[in-house]
Amino acid sequence: MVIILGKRLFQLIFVLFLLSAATFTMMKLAPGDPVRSLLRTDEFLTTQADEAKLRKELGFDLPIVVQYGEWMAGVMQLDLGKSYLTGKPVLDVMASRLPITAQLTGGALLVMLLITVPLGTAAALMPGRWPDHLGRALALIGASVPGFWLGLLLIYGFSYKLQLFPSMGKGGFFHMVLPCFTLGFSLAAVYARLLRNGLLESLSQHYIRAARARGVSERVILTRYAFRAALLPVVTMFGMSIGYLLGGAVVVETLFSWPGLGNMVMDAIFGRDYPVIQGYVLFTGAVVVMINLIVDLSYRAIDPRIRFGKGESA
Amino acid sequence: MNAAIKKAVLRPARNGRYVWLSANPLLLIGISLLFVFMLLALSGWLLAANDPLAVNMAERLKSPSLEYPLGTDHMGRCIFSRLISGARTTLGITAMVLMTVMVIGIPMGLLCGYAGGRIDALFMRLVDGLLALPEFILAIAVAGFLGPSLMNLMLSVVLVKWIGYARVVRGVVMAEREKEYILAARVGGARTFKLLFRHLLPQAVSPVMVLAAFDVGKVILTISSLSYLGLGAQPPAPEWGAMLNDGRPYFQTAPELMLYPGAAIMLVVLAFNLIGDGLRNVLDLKERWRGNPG
Repeated sequence: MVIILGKRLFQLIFVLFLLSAATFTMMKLAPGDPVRSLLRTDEFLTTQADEAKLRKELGFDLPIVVQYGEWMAGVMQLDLGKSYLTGKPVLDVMASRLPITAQLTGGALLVMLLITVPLGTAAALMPGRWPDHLGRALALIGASVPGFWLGLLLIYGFSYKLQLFPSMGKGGFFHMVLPCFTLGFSLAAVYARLLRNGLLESLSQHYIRAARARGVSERVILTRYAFRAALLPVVTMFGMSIGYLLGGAVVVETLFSWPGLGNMVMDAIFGRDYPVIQGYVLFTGAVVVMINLIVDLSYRAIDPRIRFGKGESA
Repeated sequence: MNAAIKKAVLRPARNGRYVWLSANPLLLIGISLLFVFMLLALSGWLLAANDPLAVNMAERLKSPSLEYPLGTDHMGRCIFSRLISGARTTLGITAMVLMTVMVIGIPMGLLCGYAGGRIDALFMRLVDGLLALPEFILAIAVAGFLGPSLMNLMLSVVLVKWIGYARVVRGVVMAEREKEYILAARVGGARTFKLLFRHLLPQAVSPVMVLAAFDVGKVILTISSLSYLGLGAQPPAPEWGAMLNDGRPYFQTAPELMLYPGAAIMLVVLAFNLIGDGLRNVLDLKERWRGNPG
């Protein structure tokens, strides 16, 4: 247990190092001179001396390895540099945007659960009947529909034609409905199928039969026995979906003018604000690795077979 | 014809001959859908020969007519012609990306699976690192640092996607390399190269085919999503995602500008997902090749 935890922590550090080196290299390879474009946006006549001064101020005159070392030392102390455009520390900007994105992804997960659990359970309890077919059709559509198109259709239908929900910005509950549904729908469709398959498989196991023979009620069998076993593939998939959620959030945030991390990074891309992009990429990579670490550990909580060492490979 | 492909499209009938596709409705629907698309693309190329880039402000936002089968967009360009040439852009890019991915991934998988040891360990570490960064985020990083363009977008997709193929092939090779027929081939004097490509690679054809079928859909979705964000194909290129972005300001007055390209994306992706599902069923592979959205 401790060994595995240590191994994963080492992996986390290694991955973060790889990420930081990669983003730093890419930043240096990037075309265009951020110093020049910065000066241009100031709308002043600039001299060679101004340029050199700013270059020195930003530390661009130092050797590249030194620059990386300094930047890395900063990263270790959670200093991700300052935004070229606004001059604010990247960490502060991200900290102010993070809860907004977390709200969106949290809402999307809620939407997912609200669709997945009833649909997946119904499909598993009535295989071959209409809930099953509905689940199958939804899974296909969910895997095929482009998120941005779904969002546009929802905006057209629900906020332009029916005027039920606002289409832009962040506000109360009503502002959240369309973005969260857009982000959560594809996930819900796929997970419902996954839950259905998992439930069907676990319901056919011997220990379920044994429980029935002992007179355990169907409700307890489903909720306490079958669900637990069916949860494993769902949890595994969740580790992989976190990347999808964060990526999808960029699209959804742009679509609905949701002022989160995704919106921030899109602005940064078009403004060539490299420190912000860098901070975003590092942060996202770290989140994905950490969520996968949590997923790994939660296996042990869910599945006693793994906890007691029989399924170490899983 | 490869045995795996034969098994996918043909089914042995009682009289010993093969019956086309009848075994698998999913595959049949998927392939028909794709066929209809190809026919449309071909017919558009032959019949509706409007220039997809020709701006004609006098004819903007026209409703469908004989000359413009789906009407015109906000700059008077023929929507139908743009959709057709968008199909060529999207499918062409996807094909190029997947071919590159396979050319990198398959030999890497063969090498790591067969050599094992240090090379393999190094590979797995690299994979861990790359997998931590989701494809979409990587595409954003590449677009952000190297500038938004279709070429950079393709680069970022290739950078992530080859891993899937390398892993699948590696797994197959590791499972097969100790088997007797490989030993027999080696005893028979087969060189390593021949062993890899003649004996081991064919074992990986089925899983690679299924993976590729699902990946076509995913790559199309990624490319069109990022083009929609403005990080891929740049206007006026008739790429479906970019077309949607282009028509966005007009979507209250002319919703069809966003309806058609989106529907086109969905149907093509649906076709490939159906083909993937069908292939997996026919080839009898497990659910794990399915992957997750995005």
